[in-house]
Amino acid sequence: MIKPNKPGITIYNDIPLETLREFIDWTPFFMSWELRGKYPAIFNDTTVGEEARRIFNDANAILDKIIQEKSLTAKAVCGLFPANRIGDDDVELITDNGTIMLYFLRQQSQKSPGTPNLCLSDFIAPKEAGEDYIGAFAVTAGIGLESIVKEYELDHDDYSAIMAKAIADRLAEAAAEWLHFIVRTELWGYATDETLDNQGLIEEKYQGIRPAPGYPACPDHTEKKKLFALLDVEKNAGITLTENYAMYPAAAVSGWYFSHPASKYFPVGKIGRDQVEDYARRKGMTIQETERWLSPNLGYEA
Amino acid sequence: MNTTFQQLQNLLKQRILILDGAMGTMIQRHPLGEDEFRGIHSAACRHDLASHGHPLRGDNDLLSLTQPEIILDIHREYLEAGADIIETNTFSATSVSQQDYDLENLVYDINFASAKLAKQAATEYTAKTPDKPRFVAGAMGPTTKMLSLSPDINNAGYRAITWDEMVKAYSEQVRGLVDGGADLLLIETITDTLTAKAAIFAVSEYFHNNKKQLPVMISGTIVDMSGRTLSGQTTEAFWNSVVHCPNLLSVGLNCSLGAEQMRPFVEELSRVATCLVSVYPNAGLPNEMGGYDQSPEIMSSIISEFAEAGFVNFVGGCCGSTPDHIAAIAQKVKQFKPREIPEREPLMRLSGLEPFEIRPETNFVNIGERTNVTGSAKFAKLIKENNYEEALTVARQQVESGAQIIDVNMDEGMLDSEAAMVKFLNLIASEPDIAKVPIMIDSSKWTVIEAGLQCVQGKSIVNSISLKEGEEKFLEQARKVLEYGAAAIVMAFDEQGQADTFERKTKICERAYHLLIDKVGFAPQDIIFDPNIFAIATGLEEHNNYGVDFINATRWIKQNLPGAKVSGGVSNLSFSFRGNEPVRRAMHSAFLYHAIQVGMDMGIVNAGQIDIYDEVPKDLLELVEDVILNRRQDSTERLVEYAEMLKSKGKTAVTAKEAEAWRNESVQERLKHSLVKGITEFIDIDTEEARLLYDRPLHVIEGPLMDGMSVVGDLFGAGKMFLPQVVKSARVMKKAVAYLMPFMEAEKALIGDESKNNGTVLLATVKGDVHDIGKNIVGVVLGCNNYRVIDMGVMVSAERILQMAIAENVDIIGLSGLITPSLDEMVHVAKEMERLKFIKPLLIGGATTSRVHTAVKIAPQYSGTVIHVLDASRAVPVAGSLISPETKDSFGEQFKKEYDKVRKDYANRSVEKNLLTIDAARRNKLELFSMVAA
Repeated sequence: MIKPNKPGITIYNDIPLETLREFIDWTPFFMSWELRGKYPAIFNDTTVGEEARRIFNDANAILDKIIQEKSLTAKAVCGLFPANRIGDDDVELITDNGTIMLYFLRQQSQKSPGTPNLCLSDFIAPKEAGEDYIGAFAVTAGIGLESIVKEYELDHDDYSAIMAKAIADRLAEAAAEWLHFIVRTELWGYATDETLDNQGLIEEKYQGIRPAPGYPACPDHTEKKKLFALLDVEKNAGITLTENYAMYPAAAVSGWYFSHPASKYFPVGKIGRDQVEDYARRKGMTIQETERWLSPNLGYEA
Repeated sequence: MNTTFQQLQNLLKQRILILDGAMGTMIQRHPLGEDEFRGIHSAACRHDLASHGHPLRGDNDLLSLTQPEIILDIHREYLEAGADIIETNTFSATSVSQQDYDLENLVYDINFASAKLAKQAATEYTAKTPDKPRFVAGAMGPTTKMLSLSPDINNAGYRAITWDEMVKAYSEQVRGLVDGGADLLLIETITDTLTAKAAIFAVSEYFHNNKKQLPVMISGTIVDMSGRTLSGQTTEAFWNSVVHCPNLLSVGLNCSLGAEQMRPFVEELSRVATCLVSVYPNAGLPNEMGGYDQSPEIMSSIISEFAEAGFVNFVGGCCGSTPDHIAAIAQKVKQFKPREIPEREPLMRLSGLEPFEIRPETNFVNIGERTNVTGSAKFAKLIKENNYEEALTVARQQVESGAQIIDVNMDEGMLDSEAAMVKFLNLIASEPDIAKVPIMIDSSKWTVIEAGLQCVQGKSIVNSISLKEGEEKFLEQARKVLEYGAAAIVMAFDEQGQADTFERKTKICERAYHLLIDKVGFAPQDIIFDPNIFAIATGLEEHNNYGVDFINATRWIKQNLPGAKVSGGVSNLSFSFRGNEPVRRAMHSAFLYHAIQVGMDMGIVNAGQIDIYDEVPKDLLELVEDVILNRRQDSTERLVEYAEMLKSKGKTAVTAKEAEAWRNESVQERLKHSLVKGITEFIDIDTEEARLLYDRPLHVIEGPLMDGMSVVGDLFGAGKMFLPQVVKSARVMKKAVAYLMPFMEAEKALIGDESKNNGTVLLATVKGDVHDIGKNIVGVVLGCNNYRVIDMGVMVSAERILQMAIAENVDIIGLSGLITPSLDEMVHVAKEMERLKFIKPLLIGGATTSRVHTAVKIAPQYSGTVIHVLDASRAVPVAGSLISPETKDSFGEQFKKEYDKVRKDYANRSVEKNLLTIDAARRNKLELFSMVAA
């Protein structure tokens, strides 16, 4: 339960793309082109290796151009706040303007002996154990993408247009990786002596996690609304939310920070009616509405 | 062969034999409480269970000890109804299942007493009706634990029990049953084939050690209409996995389904089984209360139809059936002849989750070699780093790229090979994409092979055994292979060493062949010889004939050892050309070409690393064949020389030369080349040249450009081009069309628009979602296959999509989305299409979408065709089939049927593992903090 060096909100208006480039995980880039294999081993793949090398070179040529012309802008905002677990599955986050309750979901599948039923709240201390902290962040690398894409499309070059989108996606993920690194080693500073290369980062060998609302560990997209309000993401990072909680520009990432050494990613998986009812009550939503947002996780017919 | 077996065989030739019905249903007719289960006040009970620490009510098998009269009476009722064979009351009488009642120490007694009771009843009735002798089948059910499934969904490699524990439990049951007087053994209600294989193993060992054989009946359980066992095997795969059972009398199906639902699987089993067939279904499907209510009349009618169709030799009933059911069945099937055992070609029949048959016309069988730590540095690294997830990807890729069997080898000094083999095979078992193919368990250590055999439910191949350590060891290992139900590769290796000449190879193989068949009882078709492929062109003269020796030995084996197969590890051959891929590939291709011609059946190869024989450059092919066939004194020197030259010349030189060459071809060829290779550099000048050559600009598009794109389409369809290449080709096409556009506009002003396309496809990312890379790629790929694509972009409402669809009269609507809420939005679009009476096909794609979601949630909302499109490569054939007038109806129907089945399977899916209550889940939270204020 280390107190952050710099509590509160921090804004990055223009993260140098040269820096982000070093933090790119290329494997998903190949996946978006339906080439299977892990970077860099994919280059030695007997079937797709040659083609993978070719698109990697093309992508880097476009990335060079983007960096040189500064045609994309990467922005980020993050915040670190005192927080405690309330009850079993909720986390109370304290800001200068009052408190915010975050609601999480717990695994309900049967576990083998010794394996717990996890909920992200498990990684935050209850009040009785002292003050703990939680973080939140949002990053984008998609500002300026639209005009790059338009320009390629006018030149009848869908290939480069798709390439530019795929690169912006990678840069946004790289920005999330970079920011998490800054948070661990400086802003929060719970891992000041961390020394990992990019591969180590990709393999998540560091302490702490950054799960995103709407994804397996916290599958409720609607909690993103709180994150956006908390950090004023729209103003501070230029990202907006659609009515279904997709982020625009699409090349964007947001999530929570947990720092406990035991924190890890896990899927909530299927949940029962009892939890859905309890969750709806805690959030003050109707059961029907809750079931709509959690439909992929329902372990019963709604 | 013992007398019971003969007596049964004779009877079975005359008529269909009748099995009994449910024991549980009959027991429930007696109001039995805890005291009755404990045998308190029961005069016949000789066990003192009054103070047993665990509740015993519900342990039906225990009643054979505590309420023997009740069990005896139930047996009598079934015999009275006409049963020829009654089952002992021992369904759960193994130490594994009795653990639930803390009664492991009574297991032998329960089995012994149950067999004795059944025998007593059977003997009474045989005496009453000597022309109708009665038999006792010792029932061996599944246990409360399974060998091929993990009880923990988060830990797929975990097993609640080991093979040895399972075998031990069944061994004890077999002893009790046989000692108590069972006439045959019935391994039944098999939900997990690996658990059944452990039971078969226990039976085999018992027969072997006691020099005694009983007929064995085997009966599997198909859990739902998908036609698979709980552990995922199809009916035929199940048969292939259990056929090795010693003294096998019959195979069959029981439980889980009613007779009606069981029919297709009974038919399938009847087609494949080369022994007798038994069927004893439940009395229909369970009702809402979990009970069964199909009447004897209906059940017996359905079963008698099986008899009439010639599917069965034994019939009876499972859950819910009663003496009335059995009497009705016995009455109705009396008139029908028993099934005759079909003649089937003796072929090698392996299985994973699915069957794999090697037929005479089966071409060379590819065995994936990359899940081998000795052959693949990458795989070795993954295993050493404990990165099993990625290691599974290697296995999956092999299956996807065409491996029909995968070879798994963990022989590495730094590894605990046994543990690694077990862990990897257990993980594979929960990956249906991989587990569908048979496994080759590869190790030079017998203990590793045996550990591997204990993890695979299918019929696998052992790689390998040999005479290296003498005949005794060889026979012992071969017998075990048979008991585990596997085929085996036999290396041409004996006490003197590895065979290197034709004479040694053939002599050893012949000796091993006769030992296996005569002394062990191996089927010839389950023997695979590996007559050793050694490195050639090493510079040592004695190595020069190794290729020829292998090829000649292969021919000899195929001609003289009928049924036997030949395999080999091909990459050894070119060992001396390490680092020179073109030469190695050419050597492998040429070698396989010759070896396959003389009968080589399979080989361990990297499927991606073999060139097509006809495509090997002629000069290289000649040199390579000289070496392989040992045709010239100087063949090695000549190939080495060529290899050196190839190295020094490097690849770039070749490309530069090729690059010039294509510019000298005709303009049509040049356009095609640019399209296929995705080169934009010359497209404007070539298009201009073509424009001048053709009457009209449109003809350039419809002529050479479309020709080029159809080559691209074919190559992509055949998997010879990848997505980025296709998108680059599309870019070339678009630029060419853009170049022609002003000329066409000018012409259009004069004669109107005549351009033709394959149809119009509307694409949109649904409301609330912004992701579109995948959708863009689909659009480009469709565009370059000459579809008109209207891409409406992202965040498009249902209303706008449908307005545009009407305005542009599109042929197909495609929706995309990445986040989970988009799934609901897609359902909404489908509902709107139904309301507005659309008939246009609807395609669904994007990261969170799935075939199951599409079938279960979207398709039912819309009466038109709805299809889930997995990726861009599927989009073109799907669009083509939906638009073509000849195929569109049948294609739509085909998906309707398929999705109906998906929906049924989904509805019938084995009940989700029971969830914990949220309170219980919270009690099992991860507690990381001590409650002391900091």
